[in-house]
Amino acid sequence: MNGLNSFPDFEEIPHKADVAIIAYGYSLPELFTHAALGLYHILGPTIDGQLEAEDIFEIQAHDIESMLVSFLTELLFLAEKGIKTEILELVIDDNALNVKYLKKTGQIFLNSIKAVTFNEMKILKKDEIFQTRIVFDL
Amino acid sequence: MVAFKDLVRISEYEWDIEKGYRNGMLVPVRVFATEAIVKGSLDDNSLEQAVNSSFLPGLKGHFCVMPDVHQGYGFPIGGVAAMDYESGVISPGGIGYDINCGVRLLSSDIPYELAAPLLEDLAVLLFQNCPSGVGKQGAARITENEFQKICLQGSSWALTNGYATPSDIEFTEDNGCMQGADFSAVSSRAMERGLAQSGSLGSGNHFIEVDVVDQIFDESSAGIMGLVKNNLVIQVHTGSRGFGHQICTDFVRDFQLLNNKYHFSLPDRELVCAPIRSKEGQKYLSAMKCAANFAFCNRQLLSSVVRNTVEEVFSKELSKFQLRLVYDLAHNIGKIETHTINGKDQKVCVHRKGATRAFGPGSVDIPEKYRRIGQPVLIPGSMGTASWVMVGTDAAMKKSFGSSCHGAGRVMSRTEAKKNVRGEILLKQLKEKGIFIRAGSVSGAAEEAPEAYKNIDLVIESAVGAGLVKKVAKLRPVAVVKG
Repeated sequence: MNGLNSFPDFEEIPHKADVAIIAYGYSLPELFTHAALGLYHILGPTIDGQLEAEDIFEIQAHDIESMLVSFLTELLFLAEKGIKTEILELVIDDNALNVKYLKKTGQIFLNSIKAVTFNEMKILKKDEIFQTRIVFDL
Repeated sequence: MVAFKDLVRISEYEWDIEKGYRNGMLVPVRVFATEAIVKGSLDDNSLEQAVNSSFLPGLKGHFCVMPDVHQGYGFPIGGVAAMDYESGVISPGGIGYDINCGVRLLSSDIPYELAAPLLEDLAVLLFQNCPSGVGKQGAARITENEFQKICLQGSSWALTNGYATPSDIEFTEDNGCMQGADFSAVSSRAMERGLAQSGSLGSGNHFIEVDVVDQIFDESSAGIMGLVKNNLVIQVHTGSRGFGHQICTDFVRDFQLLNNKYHFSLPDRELVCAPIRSKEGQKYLSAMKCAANFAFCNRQLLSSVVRNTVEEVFSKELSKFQLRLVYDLAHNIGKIETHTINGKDQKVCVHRKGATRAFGPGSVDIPEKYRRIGQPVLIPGSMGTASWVMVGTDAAMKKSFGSSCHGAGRVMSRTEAKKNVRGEILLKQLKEKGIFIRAGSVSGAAEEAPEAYKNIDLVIESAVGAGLVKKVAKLRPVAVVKG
């Protein structure tokens, strides 16, 4: 749950073949961070875990939805390499996204996600809260 | 949302959503299903997604929906579309992230009675020997140079390196290699993901399944395929793993910019596309072929592990036996084919997303051995239920661009399945029925429970009723390995 208005960070919504969530946030960086939490929720608990270290990555995108898809795709790529991230700082500047994160290596995720899709994705601001639907291909 | 009243009944197994249903539709949507399946599909967005897909430029005939339809992203799963090669588009989302996800069937001369006491051991060893699960490293350790060769040569790489027989190549769709793959179209990230996964099963609905030939409906066709009642057969279902996922991700991202360039107006961003003949379209096609070839080779490498494992388990019981490839086919793919549309032969790009090629008798694109009976069509059921071996028909060539369904199709979301099904109980119940399951996780098995899927026999009834396929044999599962 988040803040005084008490909305969830994300919620899972029905999708017959794959998995869909709606992520929420007071700001775009918060929306992105909560979308990442949703992704890790789907990937499930991790087994094992070793080193922790800070790291960064940067993404360029031509619009905000593309940026979100690329951001989550990057987290999926890291997950496939056994890395779980804890977002420390996320800055959106025009078409660039800079992410500073705590890297936890040696992680084995219970579940897998093939890809982050654009299906029905549209980032909207409603009652001062950003939200979007995200469909993950399993 | 599409409602039942929006569908026009053409026959007992064919329904249309007419072009006038929504402004922007370029062709009608044709659904091949019983009334019950059509009504069931209205519970989710699958028919809405079919309507959205009918906006894609260059579509010919109609947008086809197979009876195992369920909601996907962009196209519905079970969607087939043919775009004019000269003026049409290619859409990565209409092919899917798991490029050349497909299934193969190996026949054996091992009788069930002899195998029964060893099936649990077989399931355990197959699970141990076939790398599965999330991002698991594959059975074959390969260099970057060899990986590139796999992308260009497909299953032939496996033949050269001792993982295949000439017969395996003959009985794989496209002989296990789509011509025209170009590795320069592939990103370094895609290669990085694929390099570690050659010869791996993956998770989700991918599986290796040992079945018994339970019923034969067409003795002649079954004989030609080497299927004998009561003998074991083995199915391998997997695709291009992270390599294909990354290629699709790369092009769906890059194609987002093409809507403006080519003045496309599409109702879903996941449907982004490029003109087939454009440099962007050709680049995707070249990269897609790399993933398709990787997937053909991946199933071949897994088959090699399966053969070694079966030999390990049965060598004491049988002095000589073989696992022969009946057929290997893709069910997430884009193919350049020629079809007769409105009485004229036309070159088209057929998108099959969760749909199987089902070419009829006489096609030069199927192995000579099968030309008299039609292409073998493999339709796996859900875990614990029957699978079907069928053959393609002339009617499929006329009605669905030579395509049929690819499986049972989900009726329950994974979340709902996990809520309703206790994985441990499911595995126990299946074991009591003589079906041994080895799965990466108990919750993963619950997601794939039989009740999460349509009744495969009703899906088959629809496909047969519409004339897309003919029954050859029904298979009963006895051991299943899931990632």
